[in-house]
Formats: sequence, structure tokens, C-alpha cells
Amino acid sequence: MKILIFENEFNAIRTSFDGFNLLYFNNELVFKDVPSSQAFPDLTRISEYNVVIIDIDLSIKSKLDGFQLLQEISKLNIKNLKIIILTGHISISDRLVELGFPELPIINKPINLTTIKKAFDYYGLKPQS
Amino acid sequence: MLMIKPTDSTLKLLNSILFRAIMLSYGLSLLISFNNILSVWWYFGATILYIGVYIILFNKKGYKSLIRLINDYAFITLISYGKPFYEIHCGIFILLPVINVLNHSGEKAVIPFSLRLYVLVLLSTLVLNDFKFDWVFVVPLVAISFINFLVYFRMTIIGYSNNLNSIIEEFYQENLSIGKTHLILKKVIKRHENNKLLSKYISVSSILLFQLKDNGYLKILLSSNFIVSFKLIDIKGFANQIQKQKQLSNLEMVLDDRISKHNLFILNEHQGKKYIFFVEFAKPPVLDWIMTAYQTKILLPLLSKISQVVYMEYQLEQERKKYFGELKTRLENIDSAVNAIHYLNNKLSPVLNYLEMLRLYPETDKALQSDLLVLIEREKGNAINNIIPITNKMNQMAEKSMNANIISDTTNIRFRKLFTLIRGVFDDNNTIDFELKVDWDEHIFNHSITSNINLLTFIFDEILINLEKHSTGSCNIEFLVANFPIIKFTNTVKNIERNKQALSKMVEDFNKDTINEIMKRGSNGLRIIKQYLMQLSIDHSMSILNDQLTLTLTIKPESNENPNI
Repeated sequence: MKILIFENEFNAIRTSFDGFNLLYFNNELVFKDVPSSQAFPDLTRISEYNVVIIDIDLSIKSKLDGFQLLQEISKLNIKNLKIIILTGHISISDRLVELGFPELPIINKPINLTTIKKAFDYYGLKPQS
Repeated sequence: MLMIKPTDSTLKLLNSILFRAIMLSYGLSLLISFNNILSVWWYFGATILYIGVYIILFNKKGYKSLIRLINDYAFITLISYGKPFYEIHCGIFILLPVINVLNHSGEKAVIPFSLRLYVLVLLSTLVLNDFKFDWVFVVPLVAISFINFLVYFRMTIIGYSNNLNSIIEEFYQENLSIGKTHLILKKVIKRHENNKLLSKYISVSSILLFQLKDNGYLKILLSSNFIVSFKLIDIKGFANQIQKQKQLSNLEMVLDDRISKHNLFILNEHQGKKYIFFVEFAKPPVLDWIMTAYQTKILLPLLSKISQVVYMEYQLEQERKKYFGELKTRLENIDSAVNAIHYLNNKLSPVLNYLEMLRLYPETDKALQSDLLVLIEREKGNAINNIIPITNKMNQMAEKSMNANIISDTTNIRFRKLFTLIRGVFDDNNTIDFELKVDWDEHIFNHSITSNINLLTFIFDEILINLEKHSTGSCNIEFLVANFPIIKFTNTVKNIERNKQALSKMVEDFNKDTINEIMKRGSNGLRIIKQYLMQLSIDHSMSILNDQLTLTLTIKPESNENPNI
């Protein structure tokens, strides 16, 4: 299962994802991290991934922030795309509703492998083997 | 002018009644003093009719006011009929309405020369003189009319001046806000134009206000008409000249694309600011002395008042800038706090994940445990590495909040003001009953401290909030004198038995030199009070005796003022 993560400090949280991968997905998950929106210029290629995790506060070097990225991805109408929000903002779900996005699972920072699991459980994702 | 108009019309109505009373009394005196050729019933009937018609026409406008005047002359003619009208006693009776012309209460503007009045006077004298014309009334009629004109002229000038000056009052009432002062100049021009007499001889076409900077630069502040650019032509050392002479006239000035030649520059200094009014005239004045009188008696006092308004606007603008400056700093502080929280959230992830993996380790499948252990070890390293930046950041934030100095400026505050401030804060509150004991005398009230009024208000507001939460609802405020003036707030604490220990600790913390201990206890209100008192260098202490909690503030007057008070 391929996971795309828009997060500019992925190394700081990589072990949480590795632990989650080990304990709940038999290391089946393949993580691809991109630190900015421009690091993944062709957004149509998102369809190659099963899950997209978007950090709302991307680096200031990023052309688009998390909300804008979410808007651009929504415009593509990719079927069965599973999006998870990663954020340090507590009231992010209200903001997402304000901006007209559907209800999405949220991983609040600081994270650990269990909070990641809860977000994946939202979509009922299981290991294939 | 807002008040003058209604007052004036009321007084005119009163004058109208009193004038008719004078007419009746005067008529009676004539009836008593001279032989009457008609029977007493004629005079009695005429008087009743006169009063009746007057009552019906009282305060009526338009043609009815003319009928009222005819009624006056019918009465005058009937009373005077057959009497020696050329004698002073009788003659003045006929001229009474002419003397009273400036008190005319009709809706039309007062005019010193009234043709219809002259016609009535002449008709009356014709009737009294067996329809023969006699010059005897023409000379006094002309003389009184000219005297009336002089009074009218004076009243017009006073009215005009009041009308212009009332613009300032109206501005304070209606438009007091930054950026609207130009309306004053617009109104001055409009009201000047409304005065047909003056605007005919002095035609003011525009007024501009400049500020003369120290480097001689003219900064345009206001204008009655929108002006994009201006340029003084061939004027060497304008700044020096105007400062020396205070007034300059008829300098060539280009305003946008036209040249102004008939003008006046007037320097007006207010609170160290040099304001230059530029008054432009459509044509040169007919007579120089009229212009001089206009300048000194009307223009200068008015422009001086406008300078004060402009200066006030400048001060408001400065306050606004200062306020937004402070607000910006606070918003920046909030921003940096939010950023710090995000930073901590990121740095705390490895710590939380490490603990979570440790928690999950025992229940993990044996086959996975060794791999998990590798991850746990890796995350342990990450967590340890992150602990130092986390604590550094937290200390940094704590340091910032400890040093949050919100005093932007200090002013001299009299003890009288301080007293009024405290009384005002408690007066505005309905929850706490308070009693004042004031031992401060006039001598102390006249002393001052250098402090920040906003911060002082915060402190007393916060004291009140604390009292609302923790007291039984009353407070004694004493303004005492020891080595220095002292303010004591004493109140009875709620549920003292339950909270005795915590209160003792709180008092102990409050009396320490630093606020760290109090911060640890999380007593936010007291922390703020103590923090601000420390910033303002106000000595403070707290004590508790039985259920009486006392906060004592020692206010040291300015060091150059006598401390032995």
C-alpha cells in the first residue's frame, strides 16, 4: 500500500509511522514523503497512492499550504482517494467544514503510532496479507 | 448657533408681547394726558379690538404679520387722532414700531429699512394731519432708520461671527473623528457665502491649512476644496518671512493649474506646531480697512480655534498609532506563542511515540518485538535529543511572559487623579459595596507620580475582579498617610476556614520579591496585579488577620517633590 505524505519535517515523526507500519501493517506500507507542494508538481499522480496524508502547516517554502493543496486535490475528483489531515491545530475540523471540505480523519500533533492507527481505522484500512 | 436660533426666536416673541404692552401703556398715557375727541367707549372698544386681533395673529407668519402691523397703526392712529401729533409725547407713539423694527418676529429676515412700515407711518400721519403731507415725520423716520441700520450691521457681524465659530462646536458634536476636519473649512466657506452682505465685499473662495515644518517645508493638512498640488512662486525665504511678520498677503500661489493672487497667509502657532492658513479671495477687497477689521476681529480668532481642532486631531492620530503599535506587538507575541506551540507539538511527537511503543511492547507479537525494540531505541534517541530544545523553548516562552512590559509611556499623574480613578472603578461596579476613608489632604492630592494610567486602571480592575471572586461582597478602601501615601484595600474573605492554608501561602507568595512562586500556584489575577505593580515600582504587601485580607500599596511621589508629606 502506497502512502504519500506532505510533511516538511517527516524525519521527526518517521519512527511513529515505522512503528505503525510494523505493528499494524506487517511493513506493507511504502511511505513517500514530500516536503512541499512543488516537490510533487503533477498532482494527477496522486491517484497512484492509496492514502494521502497532508500536513496543514507545510514549510513556508511550500508554494501551497495544506488547505490549498487539499483544494487542488479535490478539484481532480480522484475516486477512492483516502485523505488524512496531519495538524497541530486543535480546531482544524471546524475550519475544514468552513472551507467546504468533507469530514476527514485527523492526526493531531504530537503524534504517536496509535493516533496514526485511529486515522487509518476511519477508512477501515487493513493489511493485505 | 444651534442654541442661538431657538433662543433668539423665543426672545423675539417675548419682545413682541412686551412691545404691545408698551403700546397699550403708552396709548393710555396719551389718553390721560390729552383731550380725547372720541368717547371713552371708542377707546375701550379699540383697545379690546387691538388686543383681540393681536392675540389671533400672535406668532403668525407671512401676510398675517403685515396685518399685525396694520393693527398696530390702526390703534396708534385712533389713539392719536385729534391730538397734537407733532408734540414729542404723541410723535414718539407714531414712531414706536419703527424703533422696534429690529425686533420684528416674522419669518423673514430682519431688515433695517422696511418699505411697508414707512408707508404705514406716512398713511397714519396723513390721516392725523387731515390728509395733508407734513415733513415733520420724515426726518426722524430717516434718522431712526439709519440708527437701526447701524444696530442691524453690528448684529449681522456678531451673528456671522457666531455662525462661523459655532462650526467648531458642531464639529465636536457631530463629526469628531480623525480625517473629517476638512469639513470645518468647507463649512466656513459655505457660511461665508450665505452672508450676502459680507461675501459681497469679501469674497473668500478657498481656505487651505498647511503645517510649517522645521526645515521650511509646507505640508498641506486641510483644504476647503480638493487640491492636488501647490507651489509658491518666487518667494525667497517664505518660512522666515511668515515667522517674522505672522501674516503675508497677495503672494502668487499656484493651486493645481491656476494662479491665486489675492490671498492671505496667516501663521498660527499652537502647542509648538506652526499652522499656516491660506485664505484665497476671488477679488481684492473693496476697502483695505474692511479687510483689516475682518482679519483681526473674525478670521484670526476663528483660525486659532481651527488650529486647536487640528492639533487635537493630530493628538488623536498619535494615540491611534500608539494603540495600533501596542496591538501589533501583542499580536506578534501571540503569533510567536502559537509558533512555539507548533514547535513543541512537533518536538513532542518522538517522546509520546516512544512512550506509546513502550506501552505496546509487552502485548506485541513475539516475532515483531525485536523489530519494535529497534524502533523503540531509535525513538528513545530522538526523544532524548528533543527534550533539550523543548525545555529551551519553554523557558524562552516563560521568560517572554515574565518580561511582558506593556508600559508604552508614562505621564505625570496627580494623587487626585489616582483617587478619582480608584473611586471610579469601584463606583462602576454593582457587586462590591465599598467604603472610603480618606486621610489624604489637599497637599497630598497635589503630589504626583510618574506612571501609566492604563496599567493603573488594569491593576484596580483586577483587584475588583479578585474581590468579586473571593470576598463576602464588601471592601474598605483607605487612603492613609505614613512615611508615604498609602492605599489599603481590606475585605472579608469568603469561606476562610476552608481556604486558610491556601490563603496564607498566597499571601506569603505575594509578598515575595519575585512572582515565580505565585505563577506556580496559578493564581492568575494576583500574578497580574503583582506583575504590574512591580513594573510600576509600586511597593505592595498583603496581610491576613482572621478573615480580613488587606492589600497595601505604597505610592511614592515624584522624587523631586517633597517626600516628607
